[in-house]
Amino acid sequence: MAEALGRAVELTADETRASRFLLVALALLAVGALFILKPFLTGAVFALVVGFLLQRPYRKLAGWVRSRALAAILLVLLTVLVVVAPLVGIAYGIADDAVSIAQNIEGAGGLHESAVSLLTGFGIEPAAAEGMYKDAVAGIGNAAQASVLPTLSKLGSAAANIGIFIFLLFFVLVEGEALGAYVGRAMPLEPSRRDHLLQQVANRVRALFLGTFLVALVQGTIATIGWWALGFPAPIFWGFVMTILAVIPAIGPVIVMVPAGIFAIIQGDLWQGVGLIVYGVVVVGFSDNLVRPFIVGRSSGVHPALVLLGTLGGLIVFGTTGFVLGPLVLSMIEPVLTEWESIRPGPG
Amino acid sequence: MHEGDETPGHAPPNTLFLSGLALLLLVLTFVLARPFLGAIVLALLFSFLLHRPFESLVRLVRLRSLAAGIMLILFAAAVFGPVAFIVTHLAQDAGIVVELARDPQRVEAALARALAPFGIERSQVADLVAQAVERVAGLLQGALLGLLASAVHLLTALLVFFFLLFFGLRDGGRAYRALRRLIPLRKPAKDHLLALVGQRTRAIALGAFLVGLVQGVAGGLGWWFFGFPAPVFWGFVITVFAVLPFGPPFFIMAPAGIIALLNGDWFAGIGMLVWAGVIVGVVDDLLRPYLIGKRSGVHPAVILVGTLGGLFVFGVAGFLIGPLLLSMVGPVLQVWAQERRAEEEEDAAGEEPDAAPAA
Repeated sequence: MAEALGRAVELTADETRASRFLLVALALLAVGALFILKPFLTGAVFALVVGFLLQRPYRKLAGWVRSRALAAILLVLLTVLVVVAPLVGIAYGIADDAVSIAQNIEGAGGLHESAVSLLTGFGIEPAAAEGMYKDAVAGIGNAAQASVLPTLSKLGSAAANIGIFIFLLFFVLVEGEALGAYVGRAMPLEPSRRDHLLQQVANRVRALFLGTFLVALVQGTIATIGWWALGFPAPIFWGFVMTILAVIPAIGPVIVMVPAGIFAIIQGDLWQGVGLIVYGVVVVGFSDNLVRPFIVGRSSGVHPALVLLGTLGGLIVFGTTGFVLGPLVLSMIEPVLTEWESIRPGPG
Repeated sequence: MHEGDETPGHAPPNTLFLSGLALLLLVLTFVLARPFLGAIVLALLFSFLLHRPFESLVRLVRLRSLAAGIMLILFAAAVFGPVAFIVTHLAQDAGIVVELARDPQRVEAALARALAPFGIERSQVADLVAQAVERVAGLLQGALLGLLASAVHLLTALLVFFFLLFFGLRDGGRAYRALRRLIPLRKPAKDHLLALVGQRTRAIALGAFLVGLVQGVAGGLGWWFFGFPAPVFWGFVITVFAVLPFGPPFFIMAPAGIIALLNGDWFAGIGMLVWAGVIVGVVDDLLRPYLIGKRSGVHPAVILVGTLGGLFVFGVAGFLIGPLLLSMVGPVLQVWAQERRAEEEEDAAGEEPDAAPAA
């Protein structure tokens, strides 16, 4: 490493040209690789991140069972059992719930009349309002189904991604250290800077996953249990929505639970509605303050504004898994910019 | 510039790599922010404009988060009432306009009377009017439908806006200082550049949009007072177009006044024409200079091109983004030219080009 850097200082003109050529070639190859990887990007990114997060447990386990491969296999199996299998089950539950929600909307007479009367109140002709309402309902129903109901091709791609995830996870666990060292060597940075940058990025990623996603998962689960126990419809779908909302700072599941409670009260289910609102505000609202310090301590990682933008933008740009990928991308920008600032030439 | 190439080992591998990485991440950030570009730009703009009131509020209540929350509630209260009024009336008025356009007898009669001296026959006028009416009615309904269909996206954008406004107020100073540190310029040049950009942003926000609002409200009031139909709708149209230079309220109100005159309504017609002239005159000669001063204004052509180009490239939000973006070209070029001149003078004066990079 040090020799390589030392040499870099005394590059001749020819060598400079060669290194520029290699850089361009590398960039082209990276773009090509990205295109090939694109269908499996979700699986690959998740494998890298989960593998990174599981490094410490993996090393402990490898120490106990005395075999790196065995430890990796055990951890992969555990991950599949604890994370992947429930996720697949939940995805099917969400799809079922979404279909029933879409049917409910189509069948709800009261909503229909009030929506049409609202539209005619704006000076739109009744016939046109009728058409607009039908379009809107069809749109919502289609969106709800399309977003979660796996079509055949999507099912194939989901299976491929899960397969890639399992495979890569194994290798990331076993070769993680070597991989990290290789990435470090490949980075044309001074060792001290490189270590600092990698450390910063690792901290952000860990804070994001533990401080944001794990907390959101716990909060979403608590909210879902209350939703289900109080007898509200489509608990899996709404649980999923509430979990994603829990990622967004300061909003959380409450933004679904309070309107749902009010709706129930309007429909005459007084205790059910009041129960949901109280549960949402008191139990779910405060669970955030209890769970977060317990999991991450007081270390603050990524700015909440970046988490918000990353979550929503990621969902729109990358699809369902984007709510993880978006914040992940945005969490790296600050360490990189800080490093760039400390290194770039010219007067500061 | 050329000194860097002569000493390749100085920084290039480190800098190049980190610059590339930063660029890649910035591009990805833009891709992620793209769906909410309008909300983001608006939130940043308002947290910039409200920075001074916010800081005085912080001195009062001591807690930055609390102060930001209070500002947010005040802002929502100040904006939501008028917006709710405008939106409900806008939809109603648009309905009136559509109906009016669908029943073209009045427009047609007026036009036929106006065009008769030029030898254009009434049947031709009717054809033209019918075509134009179809177009306009279709466009209006399409816009309304689009607005309703994108209600979910609109709500999400609203959420993003209020969130970012909160954080922009609370942590905006920190973000600004971080941005300042990132700009690789000497201190005087950096200060100059940021001051110019801030000045331009303020000039556009106040000069163009606040003035547009005033013109729209005044125009809408005149529209209502003289008994023309759908005042909120046309007030809104005036506001949107008032961003453009050269007194657009006049171009919207004057035709209405002329139509009234042609229909024989002397009071409303003359009143409208006079009122339009008064608005344009007062705004251009008194309000605009008072708000932004003569010198710091952005050239009207820049606003014109920025508004229209922004609308085409970024959609509705572009109506703000375009002028803001274009207005920064001038300051950047200016500072660049200054820096180049300073460097040349330095090169000519002393033989120590390596003195600067060390700092």
